[in-house]
Amino acid sequence: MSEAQEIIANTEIDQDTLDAVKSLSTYEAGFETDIEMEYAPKGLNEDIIRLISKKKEEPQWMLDLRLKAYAHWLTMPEPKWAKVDFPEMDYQDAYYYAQPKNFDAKPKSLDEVDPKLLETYAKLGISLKEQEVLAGVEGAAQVAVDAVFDSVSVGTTFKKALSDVGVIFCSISEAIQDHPELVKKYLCSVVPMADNKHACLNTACFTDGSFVYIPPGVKCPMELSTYFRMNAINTGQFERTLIIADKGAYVSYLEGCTAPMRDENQLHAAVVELITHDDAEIKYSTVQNWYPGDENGTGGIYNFVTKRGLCEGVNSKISWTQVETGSAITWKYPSCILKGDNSQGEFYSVAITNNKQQADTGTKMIHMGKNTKSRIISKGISAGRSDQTYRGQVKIMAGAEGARNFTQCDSLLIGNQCGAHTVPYIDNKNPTSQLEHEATTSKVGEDQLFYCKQRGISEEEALALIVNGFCREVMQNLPMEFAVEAQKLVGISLEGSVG
Amino acid sequence: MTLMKSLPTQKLERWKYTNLPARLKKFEREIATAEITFDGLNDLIMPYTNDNPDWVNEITSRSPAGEAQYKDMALWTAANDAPQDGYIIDVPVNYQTGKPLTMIMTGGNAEQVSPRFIIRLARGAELTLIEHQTGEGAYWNNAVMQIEIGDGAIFNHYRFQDNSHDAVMTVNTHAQIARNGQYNAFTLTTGASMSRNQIHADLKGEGAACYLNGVNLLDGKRLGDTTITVEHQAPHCESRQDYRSVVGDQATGVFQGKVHVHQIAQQTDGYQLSNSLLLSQQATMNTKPELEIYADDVKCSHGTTSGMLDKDALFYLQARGIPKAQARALLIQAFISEVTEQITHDDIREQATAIIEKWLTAL
Repeated sequence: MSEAQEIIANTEIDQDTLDAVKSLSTYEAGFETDIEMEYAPKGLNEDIIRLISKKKEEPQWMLDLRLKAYAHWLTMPEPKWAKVDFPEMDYQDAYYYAQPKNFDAKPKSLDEVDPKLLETYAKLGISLKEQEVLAGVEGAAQVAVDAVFDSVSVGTTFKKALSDVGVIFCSISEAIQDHPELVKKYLCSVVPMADNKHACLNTACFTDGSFVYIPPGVKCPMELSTYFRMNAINTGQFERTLIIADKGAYVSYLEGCTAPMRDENQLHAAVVELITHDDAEIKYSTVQNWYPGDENGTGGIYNFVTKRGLCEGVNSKISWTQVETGSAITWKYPSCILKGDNSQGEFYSVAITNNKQQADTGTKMIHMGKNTKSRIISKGISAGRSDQTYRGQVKIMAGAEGARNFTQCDSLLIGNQCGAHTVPYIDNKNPTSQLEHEATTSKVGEDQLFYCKQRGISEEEALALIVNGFCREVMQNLPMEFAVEAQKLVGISLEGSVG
Repeated sequence: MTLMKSLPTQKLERWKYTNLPARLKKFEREIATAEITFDGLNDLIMPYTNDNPDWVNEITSRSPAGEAQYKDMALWTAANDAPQDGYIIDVPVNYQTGKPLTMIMTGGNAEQVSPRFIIRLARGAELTLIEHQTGEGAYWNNAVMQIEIGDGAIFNHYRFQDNSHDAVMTVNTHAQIARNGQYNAFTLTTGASMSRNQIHADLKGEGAACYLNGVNLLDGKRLGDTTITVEHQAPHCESRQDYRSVVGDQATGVFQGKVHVHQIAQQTDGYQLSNSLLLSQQATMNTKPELEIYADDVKCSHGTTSGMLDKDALFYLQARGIPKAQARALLIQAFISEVTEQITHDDIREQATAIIEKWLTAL
């Protein structure tokens, strides 16, 4: 494929979109950045994959892996078991690669990055300028950010401070070039290439994402974070995240995502792989706020994500915390494979659906090692005409002596047009294990609302208050910076669901 | 062997834990008529033939329960394809009697039977049915039971599943409960190499209730599957499921329960509990308690636990001079009694307790 064949398109915002943005003030991240983009031709085929690989200047082995995944993806059936309803996807009607124009000559530092891009992130409240962060309130936590804009990583902050302690934090494209031995060893080791159709598609055409490696014995000095922004129209975002915590290491990682408001559905198929060795710990937090579509269910992101962590070593720990408020459809099951003895897995989730959103989310805890422990706390809130399902599996293998699981899933229904479902699978093959599962479904108490209103709190505020109380156990597990944002999000997501 | 075609495979979501075709492949059998005897209340019973009263035809012609949602009615279809035999129990308006009706179903070697039971309780009637399943040799009994409970009627249904340990027992019970009606079911499973106790209850009128309880005692290489769906189709209904499984040796226990609350069914009270004890290294317990809720003013909860006997409790008893085997039996008995004690009929409760004690001594 020659460079000449690439189409270059201008993404002009049309008047309709502008109007839509004005009329809907609820989704604050719904603006679009007017920046010249460069696209690969629409559709997906081997040439596109070769193009992506070439753009990323990847070695042959990576291209081979992509092509193998693509060939396999063609043969795989669409997963249909989730309780979500959407029309069959046309994979050929999307762009698989979009980058800001002139990005071929990679910016050496953040100073060279198009100011418009930096503005986008500033608008979203994410500062990519280290000085600003440093000049901020004294004592404020430092967060290193990797910003991904459509298909490319815009920049990564605090690289130097991190590399001083040996932490590798960069985009996955850089990692493929600079640390091929690590990538080769761990990529697809937790989520196999052909795990499921969406993950397989991701392997074939992932464009960017973050790579983290924490060397033995290092406690990462600051929170690491990646901010995903889907800007270009009709593009799919396929990011790939790989985090490795070597023996005794610790890292806390945050992920945020937003997209502009559009009438079309956009696909986001990501894969996240975590690996912890002996005594290591990864804490992974997500605030997912993709555009959820409007109140009639038009537009929004299809969020089909495969997230899985492997507790490879003894005494290792992986903790997933997620706040899911966005996306038209969420299909996401962050899981833990507890292979090492005494390893621990945790899953804390708040999922809020409003209007016509659909969410099928949960977790899998596969206990293999002895004395492995897992804890699942899931809080689902459905409002409007949305549908939400908790789908989870706790599996105790025969060798998992003394395994322990505690699961609690609570659902809250707001309005009589929504649905809340619980589908847990509990498979036990070891008598010394102890498993407990509890689930409840209820509505917001009239008396609670009345109590708040009587004290002069408006109905919407009262609802946000009650719901935040309902999710407290999960919110407490979010890092400070995220907790505040998440609480605000809860309020925004539920706007219009009472009264 | 035309029936083999429509058998449910593990690819079906609701059969993922139970491999029926594999178990059925193990023995040859011929289509036969089920051997069924009744004791007492003969005036209520008539045989199910090819020429049935209209109301019976009306019930049997209905589409199978849950067909639209679950598409797991393969058993039902299999039973429909087989020659029609079985019994009709028709209980008139306001019928009351202190006497229970006893039914004994006996399986014979190399038989394949598909009996059908149509049970109707008219307004205000009350009936207690004690169902014994027993037999010898390897056979497959695939029964269908359609129960219609009228306004304010109460049906107490006790089932003692003690089939031969080489047999396969599958039973599909569909209960439709009208306003203020009540369906109380208790199943004690001690038999069959593989059993599937599938219950579908529709709460169709306001104030209807269903209480589904059971104890599954599994040893050897046996598999005991309890699959329940309760559909709340009207407001102010109550449903309760309470199951205990004790799984030893290389046995497998399966519990799948689903409470489906329709949008109209406000003020629903739904509860589901499945606790299981694993007694050996090779024992397996698969649990899938589901909730599907479309109404907001409801109280629904479920719980499930799975684990081994409490070591401390065992130690406590041993420290007081009770031999280990006896202490174990005592604790298992206590675990099960949470369910058996809910049986209101004294004779039946004693009967159940005796069977459980016998099973525990043999353990």
